[in-house]
Amino acid sequence: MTLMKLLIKSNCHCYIANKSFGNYYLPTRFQYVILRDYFNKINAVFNMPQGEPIFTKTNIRLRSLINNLKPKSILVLLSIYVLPENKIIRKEIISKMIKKKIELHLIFEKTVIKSKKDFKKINDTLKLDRFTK
Amino acid sequence: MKNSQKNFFIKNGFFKIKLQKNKFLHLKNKIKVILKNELDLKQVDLEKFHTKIKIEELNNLRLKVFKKINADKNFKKNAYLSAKKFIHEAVGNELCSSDANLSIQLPNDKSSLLEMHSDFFSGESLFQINLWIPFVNVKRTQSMFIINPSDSLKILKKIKHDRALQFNDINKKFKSKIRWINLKLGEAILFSPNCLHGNVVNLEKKTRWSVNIRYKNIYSPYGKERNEKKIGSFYTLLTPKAITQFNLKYDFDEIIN
Repeated sequence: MTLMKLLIKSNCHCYIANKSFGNYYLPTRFQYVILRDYFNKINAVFNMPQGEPIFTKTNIRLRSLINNLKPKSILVLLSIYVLPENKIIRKEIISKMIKKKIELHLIFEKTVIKSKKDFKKINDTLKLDRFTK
Repeated sequence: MKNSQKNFFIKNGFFKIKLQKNKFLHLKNKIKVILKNELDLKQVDLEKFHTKIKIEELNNLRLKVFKKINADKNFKKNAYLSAKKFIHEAVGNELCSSDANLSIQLPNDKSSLLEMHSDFFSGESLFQINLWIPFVNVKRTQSMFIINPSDSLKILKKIKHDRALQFNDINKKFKSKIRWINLKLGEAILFSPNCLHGNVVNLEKKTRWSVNIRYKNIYSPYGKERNEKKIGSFYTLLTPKAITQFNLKYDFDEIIN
């Protein structure tokens, strides 16, 4: 029992989009369902996330969340497309995650990003997506 | 609703009300009965509930109670009836309403925070009112906070445009603008969730239990986003009037469209 408690991850956080992201739109309550299920699978404590204000393009919620994360925390997003569209903001956020050694889990892409090299792939994927539109 | 109450609401974004006593007691008892059954307890003291549960178990319990109060035919009905005349004054009497959301805030629990926000952050209507009912006496950090409409607007403009700003900065810079809602048992507030509001870690010694329900006139504007915050998914019909029921029965609208 004690061992089980030790294995429960309490440093996992998540974040949701309040509007469409990539090719998806998911009502917030279903985003919670998917995230909660994922947290159960990775044995992490789920805390209700808050979303980005729909009227801003500054990603204040995500920037604030990453700023508050402790080093080596886990951040879970539904998709790579939840990340900021704005390249400058995205770059700042990714730099901060690399610096803090944040592990980024992208559920739809079935990807866990840990290294600087992996983080570079985020921009490549988003760029490739733009090429094909 | 007196003129003084209306003026207070327009200036401060909320007003205090006294709930219908029997309706309020029904709500409180319903929650206690659910807890007794779920946790196999003989007695439930809501204020001391932190002695009965661990923080890690809290969200699962919250979800179970949330489902049960929303499945109960009378819970939302009694919540509405407990504040009916004030809700009518605020948004009219032909209403739709949201689910009853449940908050449980144990002392020192950092996992149940609802940071500063407006409900339209997620694309909800600007034209709704939120009924917030605590089931224990609440004060300071055990309660919720609200920022008045003028100050909320100043902060929201910064949130909209400032790329360097973070919520930590806002919390520090505008700490003095926060107003804690102190209420006695049986009191509640109706507030505009357009105003920034939220909670912080409960630093008091007692647990807070509260529900909140949004009420909106069926025909007032919904959020502009193409999302689920509409009637049928987010709001359910509460008090449709005769002409609405009439037009739901007969398809006159198909003739003109």
